[in-house]
Amino acid sequence: MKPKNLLLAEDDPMLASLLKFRLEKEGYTVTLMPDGKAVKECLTTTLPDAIISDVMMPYFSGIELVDYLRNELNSKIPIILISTASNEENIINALKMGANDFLAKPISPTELLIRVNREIERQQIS
Amino acid sequence: MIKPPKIHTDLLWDLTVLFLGLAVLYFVAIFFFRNKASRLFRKRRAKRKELAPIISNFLFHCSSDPKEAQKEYVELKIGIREYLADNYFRKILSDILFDLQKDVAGDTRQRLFKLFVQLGLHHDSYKKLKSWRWDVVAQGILELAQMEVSHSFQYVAKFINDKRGIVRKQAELAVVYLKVEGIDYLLDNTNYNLSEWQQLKLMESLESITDYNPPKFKTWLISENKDVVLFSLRLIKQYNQNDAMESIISLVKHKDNDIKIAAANCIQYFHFKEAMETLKLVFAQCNPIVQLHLLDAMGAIGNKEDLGFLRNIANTSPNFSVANRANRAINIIQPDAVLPSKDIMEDADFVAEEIPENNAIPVVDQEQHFEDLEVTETNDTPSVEEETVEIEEIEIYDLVEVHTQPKEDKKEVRPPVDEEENHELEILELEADLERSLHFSLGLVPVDSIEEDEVQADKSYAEMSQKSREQLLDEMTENDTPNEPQLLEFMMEHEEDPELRFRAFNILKNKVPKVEGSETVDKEKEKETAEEVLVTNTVCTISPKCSVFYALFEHASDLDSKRILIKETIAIGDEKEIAFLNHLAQTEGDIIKDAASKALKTICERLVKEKDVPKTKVSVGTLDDVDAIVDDILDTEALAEETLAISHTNEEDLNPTDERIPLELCFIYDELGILYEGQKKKEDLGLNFELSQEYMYNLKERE
Repeated sequence: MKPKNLLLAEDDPMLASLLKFRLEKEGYTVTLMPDGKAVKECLTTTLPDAIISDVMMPYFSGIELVDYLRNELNSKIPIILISTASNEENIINALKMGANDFLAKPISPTELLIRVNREIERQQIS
Repeated sequence: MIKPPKIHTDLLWDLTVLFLGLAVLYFVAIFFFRNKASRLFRKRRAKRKELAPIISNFLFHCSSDPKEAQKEYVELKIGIREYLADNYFRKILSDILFDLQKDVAGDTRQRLFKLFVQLGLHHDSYKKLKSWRWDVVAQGILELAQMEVSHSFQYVAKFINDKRGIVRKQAELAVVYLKVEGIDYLLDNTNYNLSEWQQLKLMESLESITDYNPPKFKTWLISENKDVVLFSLRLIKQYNQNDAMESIISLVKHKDNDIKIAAANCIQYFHFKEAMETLKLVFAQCNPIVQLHLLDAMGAIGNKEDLGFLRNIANTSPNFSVANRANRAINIIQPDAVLPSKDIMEDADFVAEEIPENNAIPVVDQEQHFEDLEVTETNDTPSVEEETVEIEEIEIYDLVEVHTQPKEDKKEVRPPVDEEENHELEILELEADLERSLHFSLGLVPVDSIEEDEVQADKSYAEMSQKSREQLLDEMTENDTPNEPQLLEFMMEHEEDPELRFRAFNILKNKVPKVEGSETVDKEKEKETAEEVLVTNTVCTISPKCSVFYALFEHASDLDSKRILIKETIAIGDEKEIAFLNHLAQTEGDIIKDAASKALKTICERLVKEKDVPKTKVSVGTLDDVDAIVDDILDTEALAEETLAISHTNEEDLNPTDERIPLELCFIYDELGILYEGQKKKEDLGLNFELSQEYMYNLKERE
């Protein structure tokens, strides 16, 4: 079975490396992106099976990425947002824009893995 | 002549070279250290990048991993031990773990803490504790606390009484964070102050402990450290430990104001009603800020018995805030006991302005006659309100009748009873008590009870003390009571004190016309009633400010001017002046009050007469009747002359020496074609104002 491609957009290299290691250990192919601009460029060429993105990033925020993906690329690939600023307004905005899930920092890598699995399964069913 | 100092040019060149050299050195140093810092940063970043997967491997390794992963894990472990000898490497590793613990949660976080200890990085933190620099020590304590190195508790605990504030505060937080028993240790041992911010941070640390079972914080209410007591009170509130009532109540008597306030807040929070007496006891000794908190607590726990104390504070406290808070406490205990009173306008001020706008009361034209109104009789059942009014009327009627008629007549009020119906009387007598109580509750006093009441009243009066009798007379002066004349007669006959006897006589003298019925008295009564109604209606509907005299009166400088103004109202006054004069009669001093009352009475009489004239005019016949019209005109003129005569007499009463008449009166004279005194004599202009000197001067110049 072909491994699923994940795009991980996170500006903190240590956390990004940790999450990448955990996701790859589960069999996913993870592409790391340090900022929103790089993510956009990447999305124009290839679309991953799911995106995990930090909300606060250089150039483009995670919410802007959701907007770009849903409204400009008209893609329905699952997006999971992670952020330190986990106030209600941020979460509601993200979900309204079309994000599939929201995780607040500090995050448990195991929990993230479960949520990613669930979203990909949903995507396959639909 | 001053000459400039001679400086050798070689020296100048030497200095130039020196400063240029220093500048170059400075820039070189900047360049060198900048490059070094960025090189170190790059090196550290590369090292972090290199170490990140190793740390991830350590964190996510488990025994069920495939053999290759297991092999890789062992190799990494051996490799890292070699690196751990290097301080720089250990520092980077420590930084990475410290950064990561902020971003990860759950099982990964616990593994990270374990890894920190397994790699022996906590020893570096211990070394930092031995540093002479306070910032390094604080950093070491922070690392040990953040990485949850629980066995470092004893090392960190030593610093809770450290002289250096930052170290001490960091140690206090670490002690609470590292062990559940840390808070006990801190409260037992700390000798220094705990700032409010520090207390909040400590509470935050306690909140972060899962399944925290707090100790009984009342244990530390006896601490000698004031801040420990305050913090304990705060924790007692936070964890709802209401078993420390007596200790908290006794803390209200503490010398320290902060403790008093905190104790009062606790009392308010837990509603310790037993604290009320202590709060009252200490209240007077406290400063206003503490008093505010005590009043809040009193408001929360007080009952109606404490209202007297609070009212006393509200009335006597020189401090506005305290008095205000006392009123608030009263309102909490008894809602709406204290109502707003400052700058509240009277009801009459609103009525006078609102009614004409809304047209709530239908306005009848002055020319509209009462005969035009049709009166229709309806057989509809009267409403409850109408019935109530009727009962009240009966009550008044009965009372008056009883006093005016002879006693023999009272028996005739009852219908005659036949002999055959005697047996029914027995039954009726049995029901007499019931009927009596029913009538009493309805306000209908049975006729036969009046006589008994009189005798009882006389008896009770004879038993009264001197003071009570004086009070009774005061009440009689103000109010009408049914048995008054009889009682007053009794008092006149039997009272020993001549002063009271005289007062009773005076009251009776004033009341007799009201009771005795005769035609003349009735007419006077009707007239008085009409005048009273006129005054009441006018006062209700018209504001005193509507009168033109109001503004003039406000600007009048002395008493004479005011009296003259009142005198003027008699001649030209109407409903507006009634309201104005009534206002004066109620608010001004004795002299103005008397003058205003007289003027009011005169105007009322005049207006009542004026109103009676149209009635008779219409009732005489139709407008076609020429004779009637002539009579009406004559009547009106006669009335006007009479009115003027009245006003003249009143004017003379008020100021007999003043022969001038008001300007407005001149116009009235002109309209009615009457020659006034000034016109007849041609001596006086009849003006009641003086011409200014400037006017006279201009007049002379023109001439």
